[in-house]
Amino acid sequence: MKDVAKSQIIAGTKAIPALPRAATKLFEMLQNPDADMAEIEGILRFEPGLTANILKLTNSAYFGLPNKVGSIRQALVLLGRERLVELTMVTCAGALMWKSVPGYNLSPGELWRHSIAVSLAAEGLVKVLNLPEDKRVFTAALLHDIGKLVMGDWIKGDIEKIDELTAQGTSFEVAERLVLGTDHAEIGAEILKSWAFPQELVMAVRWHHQPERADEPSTMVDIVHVANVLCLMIGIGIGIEGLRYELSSSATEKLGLKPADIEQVASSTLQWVDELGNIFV
Amino acid sequence: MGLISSELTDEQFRKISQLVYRLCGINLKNGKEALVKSRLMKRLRALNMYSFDEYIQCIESEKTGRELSHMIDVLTTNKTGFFREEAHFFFLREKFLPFLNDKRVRFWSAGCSSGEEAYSLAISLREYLPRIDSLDAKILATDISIRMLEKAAKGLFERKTLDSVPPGLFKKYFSALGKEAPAVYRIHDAIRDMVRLARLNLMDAWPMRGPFDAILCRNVMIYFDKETQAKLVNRFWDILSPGGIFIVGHSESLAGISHKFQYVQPAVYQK
Repeated sequence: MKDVAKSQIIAGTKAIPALPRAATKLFEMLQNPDADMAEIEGILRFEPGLTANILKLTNSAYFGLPNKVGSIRQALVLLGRERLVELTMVTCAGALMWKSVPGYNLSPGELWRHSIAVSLAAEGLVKVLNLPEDKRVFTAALLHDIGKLVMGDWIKGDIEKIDELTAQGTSFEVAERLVLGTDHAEIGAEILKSWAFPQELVMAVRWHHQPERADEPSTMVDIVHVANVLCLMIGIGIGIEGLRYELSSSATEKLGLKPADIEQVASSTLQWVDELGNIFV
Repeated sequence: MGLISSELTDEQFRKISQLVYRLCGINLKNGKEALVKSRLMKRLRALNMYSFDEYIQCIESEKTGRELSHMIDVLTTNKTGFFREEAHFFFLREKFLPFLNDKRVRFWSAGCSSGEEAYSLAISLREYLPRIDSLDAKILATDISIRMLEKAAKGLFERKTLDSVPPGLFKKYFSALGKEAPAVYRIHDAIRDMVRLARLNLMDAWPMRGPFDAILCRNVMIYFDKETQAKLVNRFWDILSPGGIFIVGHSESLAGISHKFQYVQPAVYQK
């Protein structure tokens, strides 16, 4: 029964609109420092909607650029390619995630706000811990809960059983797994795989609740995990299960994270989300 | 039929086009005689007149300007329709709207006639903007003709003009007016409230500040000469957001006009 559900749920991931090819292409460029501006422009040329929104975000008060940016080339020069890729991902993810997610009791925009907050927190953690910059962390964090888009309907159908388990102290993703044979992290990883994202990103999504289970140690996995719990602690994106997760001590140990660091990132995340609220509602 | 002398002499055409040019900057020269003639014949018939001389005399002598505005209407009003030119709405639905992530969304239907285009845009925004309810999304619809704007403001449409609305959307956004006029449908307030109608001659100064995310100006520029078209296209460019979309009629293009837009697909351009 459970296995039937799992294969059906995985089949359901195909119903999610594909990420525009331009987004994954640009993401690959992050790893290719030699890619020139014309190449990046060329990729976006065929995505007028993406381009328009990237320019809107570039011109938003958040970046505080003194003059209006009128082209992707200008945006590239002023923001850098990493920021540009982030804005691309934010735009694409927004198109997918801005909706209510039944089952998890997330009102419209809540999953989206949570996802943005976790990416900002993840960036903040990288900075505060002085980790070598890996700009892909932002995207991994942004997409960590994408599996909920598919799982939501299934959760809704079996919510009583899941509630019963969590009432007895079972963590939410374990209850998901016990009842449905899979959980939103696994389904999210499937989605990222189908979009041809690199393995490390797939793993970061797959193990964002259980970082210690990742096949090999990965800072990205640990960061996304901590950033997620941190955002739930400060109350951004708490749906039905928001308060039923805990920080993995192995992740915090590996990262060398101190309570003061968490506090610092938490407060700046709140501030960023507040500032971004003016743009994203 | 032969009752009406349907000759439009060069002299009569010159008079009419001068009048129209003075009033709304529309330049009716080279080859527009047939268009002028066929459209004005409607007015001649309505007024029981038998020659264009008589008609011109009527316009020149009337003090109310009523017939003058009728004339401008018939000369500048185009066939319009809901979701006209599916390729344009497909583009907006698939390539543009899903990515708009801003709180403020502004579209402009320039030359909106009786409102079908503007209402089609409003329906598209409501359907395909990911978070329409928390957005400030508005469509400005302008036309030179007050009569057309009044028609648009009523939001009433005959059933047969709604055939081009996809059935699902028709059910969702239109209601029959009642038993007396079962063939007339009213567009829902949620859609009507998104559209702001205003009279505007595109040749005049524009009172709005913009910027717009998209401007549709379809089958309007055909009346203007190249020079006027170029000026107008550049004014549209100025009032669009960076990345904003500019759409013209499918038989129009910006070829031969000096402009800064990027070509996206036939009739669709991006700033």
